[in-house]
Amino acid sequence: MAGELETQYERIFAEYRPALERLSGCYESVPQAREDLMQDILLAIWKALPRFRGDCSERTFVFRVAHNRCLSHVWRRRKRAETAAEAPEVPDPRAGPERQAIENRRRQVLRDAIRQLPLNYRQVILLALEDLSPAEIASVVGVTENNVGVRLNRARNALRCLLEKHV
Amino acid sequence: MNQDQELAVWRQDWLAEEPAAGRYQIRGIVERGRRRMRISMAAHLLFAVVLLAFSAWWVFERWTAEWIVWASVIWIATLVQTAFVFWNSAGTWATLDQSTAGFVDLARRRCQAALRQIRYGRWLTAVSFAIVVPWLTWDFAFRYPSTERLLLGDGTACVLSAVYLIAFALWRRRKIRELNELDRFTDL
Repeated sequence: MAGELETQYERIFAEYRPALERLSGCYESVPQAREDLMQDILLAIWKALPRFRGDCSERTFVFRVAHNRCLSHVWRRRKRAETAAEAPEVPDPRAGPERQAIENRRRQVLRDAIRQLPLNYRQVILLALEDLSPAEIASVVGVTENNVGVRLNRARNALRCLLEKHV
Repeated sequence: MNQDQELAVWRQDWLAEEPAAGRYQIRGIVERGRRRMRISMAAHLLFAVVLLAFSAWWVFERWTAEWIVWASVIWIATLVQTAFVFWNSAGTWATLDQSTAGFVDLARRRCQAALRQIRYGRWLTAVSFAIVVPWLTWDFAFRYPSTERLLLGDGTACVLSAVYLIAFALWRRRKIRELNELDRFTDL
């Protein structure tokens, strides 16, 4: 049983790690604190996994735990201004230097804009960007699909405004 | 560009982002988490056992009604506090896999429970101060007169009460900030 859980956990870790990294990056901009948050998320998933009974998809389960952990991190941390300067430059080894710089810049602008969104909107837009369906988002957030639609629409408008300011 | 296309473009950029090169040793994380919880629980248990054992030894050495009452108070308070610590730590993990709405609701109730606990703690501190200081004063002023013990006893009681009150004030401030954050989240 414990062995099964460890196998399941290792698979979840391998499959969702990039998504969880992106997620933690949008709730915490300081690199060291982000790594701590990521560890907290991984630990929270490990703790919650034995209670996962398959009443929702595994993806929904992982994002529920991760988002709740991130929200709790934001509520508990001391207030400080989020600055774009804290966001690290992530090199992309696949592209040429010029194109790489442009793409990196675009992604950084998107990440910074998402980080400036109110938590409610940030949550739905992050889940939508991770390609979760409205039903899955509703299950993570605990609201109706209609409500998800409304929030997503508002979040998109807010994000568009923020991105236009950056251009 | 319509809204779906716009979201698709953002998604493409979003998913193309390579994760930061954080090194996470799963077993290490799990072990650290287990160790942290075990150490915390063991520390609470050890504190409770030492307090219970010490008060038991003390009361058996001085078998009077007065010390029996004091030991009983210590036993009851220690058992209640230990039970609360275990119950609270179990609840912390039990809620993380709920939907955000459920989680927010529970987080709010937990903050309110903590505020009640703080109020209870403040009253308990005030009541124990009101009992201990006159009792120590009477004890060392009339029963076993000793200025040194009187000052030491009353001084310790004052310092401990002040430390508890400051700790409660800091804890309360943190919980109120958390509650405000929760309200801001649900108000949106």
